[in-house]
Amino acid sequence: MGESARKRRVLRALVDVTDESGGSVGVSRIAESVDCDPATVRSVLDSLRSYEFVKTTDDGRYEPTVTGREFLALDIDEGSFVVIDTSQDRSSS
Amino acid sequence: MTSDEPAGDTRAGAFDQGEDPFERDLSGANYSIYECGTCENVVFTLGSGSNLTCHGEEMSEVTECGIDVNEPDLRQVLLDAFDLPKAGLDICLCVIGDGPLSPGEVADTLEYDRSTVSRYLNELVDIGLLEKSQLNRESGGVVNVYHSIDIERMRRETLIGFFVWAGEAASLIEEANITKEAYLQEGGSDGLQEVFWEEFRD
Repeated sequence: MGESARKRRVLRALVDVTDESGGSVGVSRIAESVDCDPATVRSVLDSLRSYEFVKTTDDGRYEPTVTGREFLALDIDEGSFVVIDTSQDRSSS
Repeated sequence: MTSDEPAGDTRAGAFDQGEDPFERDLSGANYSIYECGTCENVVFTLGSGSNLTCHGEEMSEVTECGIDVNEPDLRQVLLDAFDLPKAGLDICLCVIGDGPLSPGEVADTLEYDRSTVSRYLNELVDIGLLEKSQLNRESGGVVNVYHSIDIERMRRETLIGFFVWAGEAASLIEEANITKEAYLQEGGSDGLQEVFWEEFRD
């Protein structure tokens, strides 16, 4: 599975499992959902967190952010060019 | 072993080239060019161009080109037609399949400045090869997402965009030919070079 597809699948799985459970989710639950080893999933989640698509709770579990949900709603084709720029000023441009 | 060199053309006005005049065989090309036998209409097609008509008659396929042309360089074509430099293309190739990436990650991979990456991202949006969406941040403000347009739409837009550029280029060449022809017919007193470049001043 390409890196692009893996990131998207993990994010989608996090959203689905969060909505199903009603709360934050642990790495192993997501790993099980996407059939991937926890270490890889954790690495992907860290990457998604750098884009502000995912946040961590005090107990080390994960939740999707509004930003992450809006990203999935863009419905961009897998493998497409995507660059996430979080460095903008905290105002609309 | 006998020589295969053809004899020079001995007709009056001909010049002895000592070799065949240039001819490029177009039969194996993945494009086709058709011309009208009555007017100066010339048609270019990437696909099959059969059944093209002009003046009520089927157009003839051009099978040879008598002028030597350079092989195009993709980087130069993208720069001339779309003002897209190699760096812009490098960014596209770097991200596709491995994204999402941040501008910093792209900069690190390509060894560009981050500001260079940001500049080209916005240029790619201006050209129409990328779209820019803004996502809400939980802490306020927005996150910018640069993403490609649908691949079929990109294919269509880049081809049509290039054909527009090629059409403008063909119009320039035709205008140059007309300028030269008019000069010769009018018996101009100024040098043709002066007249010509005055017409095509930037």
